Amino acid sequence: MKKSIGDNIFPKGVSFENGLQLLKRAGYDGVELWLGEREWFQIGSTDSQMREMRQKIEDAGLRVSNISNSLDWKENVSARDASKREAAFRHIQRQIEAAQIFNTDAILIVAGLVTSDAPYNEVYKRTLDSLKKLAPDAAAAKVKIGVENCCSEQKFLLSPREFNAFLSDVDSPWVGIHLDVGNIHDTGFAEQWIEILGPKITRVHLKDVHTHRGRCGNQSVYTNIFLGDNNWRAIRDAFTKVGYDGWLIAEMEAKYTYAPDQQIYDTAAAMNRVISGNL
Amino acid sequence: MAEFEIISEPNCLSQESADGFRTLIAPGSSNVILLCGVSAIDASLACRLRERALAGTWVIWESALIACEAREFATQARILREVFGVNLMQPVALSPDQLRTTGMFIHYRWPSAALTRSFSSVIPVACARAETIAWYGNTPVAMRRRFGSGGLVFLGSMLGPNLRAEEREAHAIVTRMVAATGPSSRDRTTSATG
Repeated sequence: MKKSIGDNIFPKGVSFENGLQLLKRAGYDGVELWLGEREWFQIGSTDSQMREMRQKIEDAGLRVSNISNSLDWKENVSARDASKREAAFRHIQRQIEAAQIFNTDAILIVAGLVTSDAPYNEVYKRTLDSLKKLAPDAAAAKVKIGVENCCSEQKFLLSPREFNAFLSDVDSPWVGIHLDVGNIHDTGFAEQWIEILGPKITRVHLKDVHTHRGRCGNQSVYTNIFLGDNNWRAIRDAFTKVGYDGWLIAEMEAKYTYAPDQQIYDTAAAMNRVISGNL
Repeated sequence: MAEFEIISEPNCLSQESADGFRTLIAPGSSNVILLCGVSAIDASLACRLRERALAGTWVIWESALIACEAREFATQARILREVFGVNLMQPVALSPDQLRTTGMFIHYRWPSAALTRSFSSVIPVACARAETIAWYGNTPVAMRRRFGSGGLVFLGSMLGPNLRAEEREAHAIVTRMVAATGPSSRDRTTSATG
């Protein structure tokens, strides 16, 4: 297993290059790039600019674990508005192109947003159709689309069995799940998601979660690894059980008021314990 | 489609386990008897099973002694010891604390390295002339022992419910277990205590 973390956690004011150096010092093997998040990687970034970024990443001794995006919350493949749906297709296809430029084989998308206006069954059908349309592009690029489980926020595909059935409906080896072990909250157990979805896992996001807290005003339910309610031994064993030996990517909220870079070091140390099973 | 010979008991747990084992496809000619979630096999049936093992049958004995009275456990443990030389220790109920510290899964070494879900309790097992094939933590919970041309595989942690729950790893373990025990003549399915 290899460790990665998002470029969206680089402390404010830190340049892309210095952020990479920080990750390398902290012991990471790679970086997750978020399209649409920081100024160095936007939808308007050219191929040439991406190739320069790739060089900087390699010069820092790192690799790109995957390409994510923060655009799906506004432009989603399940949107009723056709222009938003088309925008979603465009940015996902750009993610696939970026993945090839950065020499990685996975992207993360958030597919399907259920709201009071956009009902479940309609979202299901539209999301399914969209992923079936995107699958051939992914196959041609040899880049896997990892659909993230943002259960609570999306209100969509809320159980591992349903998610598995959905992916079976998509029926493409190039569309799987980018499994976030913290996003399950109190609706289930991360190790059971791993067990059920096993071969369909493209990448894994790591974070911890306070399952007893629920959503309470401004308080976040997410926290650093080992500080929440996830059963890390079960999660680690479940990875062994299903044979998952790929990238683990920390997706953290920036929590440290002081010494924000220390969170990056602390997260790397926690990930080492998860990987080694020394829990 | 070929079927395994299955022996089960008329209670929910045994029937659930038998349902799980029935999801397996038996090889064209199978010489395996599956005892699914059993806790009350009497001495005469145990002796007949031993005879069949000596003659080339493999007996896969999945115990449900996790959910029985102390006297029932003592009786069954005595029969297994006297007929097969297998020693059972008292079932260990897996508490939430234990699951958190020791883990949720049973570690198999044979027929291949694999993990499968534990099922509430485990029965530690010991047998001087047997090979331990699975552990919960450091506790051996499954073994296999050859008798003549066949043998006994004793499961102190249930696999049937995992099969019924469509667990891939349980399916692979049992499929390989059956394949490793070799084919022979086909028998009919039964469902009764001995």
